[in-house]
Amino acid sequence: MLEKTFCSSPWFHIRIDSGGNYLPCRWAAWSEINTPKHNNISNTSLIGYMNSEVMNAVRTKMLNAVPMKLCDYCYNDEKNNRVSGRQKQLLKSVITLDQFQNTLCASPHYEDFRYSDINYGRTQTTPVDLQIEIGNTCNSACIMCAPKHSSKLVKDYEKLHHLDQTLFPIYQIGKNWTDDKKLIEKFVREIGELNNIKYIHFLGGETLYIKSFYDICNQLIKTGQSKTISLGTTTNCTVANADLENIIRNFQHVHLGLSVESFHKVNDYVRYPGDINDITRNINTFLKLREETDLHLALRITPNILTIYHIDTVFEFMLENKITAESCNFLQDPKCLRIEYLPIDLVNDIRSKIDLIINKYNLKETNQTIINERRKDLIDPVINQLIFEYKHLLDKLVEPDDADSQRKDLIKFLKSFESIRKNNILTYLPEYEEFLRSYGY
Amino acid sequence: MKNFYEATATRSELTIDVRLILIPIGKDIPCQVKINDEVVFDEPLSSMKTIAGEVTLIDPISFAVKIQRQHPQAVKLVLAVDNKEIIPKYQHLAQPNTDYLDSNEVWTLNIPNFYSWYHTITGQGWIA
Repeated sequence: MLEKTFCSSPWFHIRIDSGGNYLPCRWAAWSEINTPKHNNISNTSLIGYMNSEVMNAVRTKMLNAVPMKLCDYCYNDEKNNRVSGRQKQLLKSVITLDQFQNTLCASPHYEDFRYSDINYGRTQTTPVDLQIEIGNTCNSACIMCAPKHSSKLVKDYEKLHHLDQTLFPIYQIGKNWTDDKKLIEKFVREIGELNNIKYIHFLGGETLYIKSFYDICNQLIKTGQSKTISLGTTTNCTVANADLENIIRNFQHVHLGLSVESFHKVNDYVRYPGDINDITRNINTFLKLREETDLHLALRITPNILTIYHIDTVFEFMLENKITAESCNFLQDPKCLRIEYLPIDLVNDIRSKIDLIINKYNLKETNQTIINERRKDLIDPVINQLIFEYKHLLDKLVEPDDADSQRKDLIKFLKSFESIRKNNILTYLPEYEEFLRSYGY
Repeated sequence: MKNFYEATATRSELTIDVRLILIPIGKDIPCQVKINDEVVFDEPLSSMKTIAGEVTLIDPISFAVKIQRQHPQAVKLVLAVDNKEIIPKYQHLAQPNTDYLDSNEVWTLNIPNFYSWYHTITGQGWIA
């Protein structure tokens, strides 16, 4: 059925990874990304990629309701009754799943879809929504992250590889496309030529720690293009500087995603070597800036088996500061950090703490599903929706068959990191002592 | 729909519901209602009247209501399209911008493409 698989994203969105490879979607599964046939920013223009073999094939499959592995992430979200990237992209074409046929046929992009349908997937549209990955340079080495996203983890994994080759595979460091000034100039020039880019989302590493982020933004400010472009990025909140403030004040609109797992010291263990006090101070700086500018803030949380225990601190911060959270997925990799491996007694502790929040703030569940979670008028309902979503996900948790082996891997994983960081999880999470000790900690 | 081609085959036949309620304040108020320039109601209004129908999905929709009132007569309007409240909620988009007709000026509301228009007026976010 078309409504189960169709997405309008390939008609207006493309992504460039840190190596400069073009990809069809920001939500695309990583396994798809590592295929060798990619077009690269060094040999293909933004508009050229829109009519590449890859994109024409993706659009053709979309129009013919052919499910793609590329889209697994969204299929999975929808299977779990979560708002998917597909739904968010469809909304930008004024298509909703509850009235799919009518909204598809009335979509302002209908003629674009039709053109592709009779022209082997080709399109006359140009990209308006970009995700640009500028490299893995990062000042953090979060344990749940991967070397491809953190230069610091590359070094840690090299040190830990001899302890377990599966848990700590060696990452082949590639060149970041943003290291080449000519490619940055080419990119900015092409954006100017397209003249209709509405949104650029930058990803790192730690974007605000990477010089090329400022280089690109400052060039867009210099050419005046920043006035018509909304900018988005995600930060680990360890950086807040005047250059960033200048960018916030000069782009049409800036969306800042704040990666934080917990407002508790366990965040320091997980987002090593961050300090939750510094991070909170920087978030408060952003909150003040939000009052003066059109800055939009949202927390980006990806709870894992450790940080889920203090998820209530995140919810309380959201409620107290009127700040939403988005793209909030439970962690999948490394597998041993998934929350489903948490013993039921600890899960029950978390559920009780969430219930306390629900009672304290008198939250009521509604049937409303909010697709665009960035609407300023819907901050309270979005927070509400998220808290109940977590409550239900925890209610439904089932212990997997491989719990024992994954819990043993968890101990090995933590002890390996602790051997080079000289820290101890029980200092941060004494509540986990019985659980961790019983698996060999 | 198995594929997009099926959508192209049925598109011109798709419709959306329109429901306009006229609530008179006073009796025997001459009232004419046009939807897409077609007169769908034209008679004196003494009690609440509901005009329900369908319009094609892909065409613009225009509403025009004209009354000939004597002071202090008036007509109150309630409009829903596709079961979504339009008037009085978005009366600021009508001309004149009211749901309460107490003059003989023609009241009009023009909707170019219903879903795109509704997306915009309800602040659903940017259209790519």
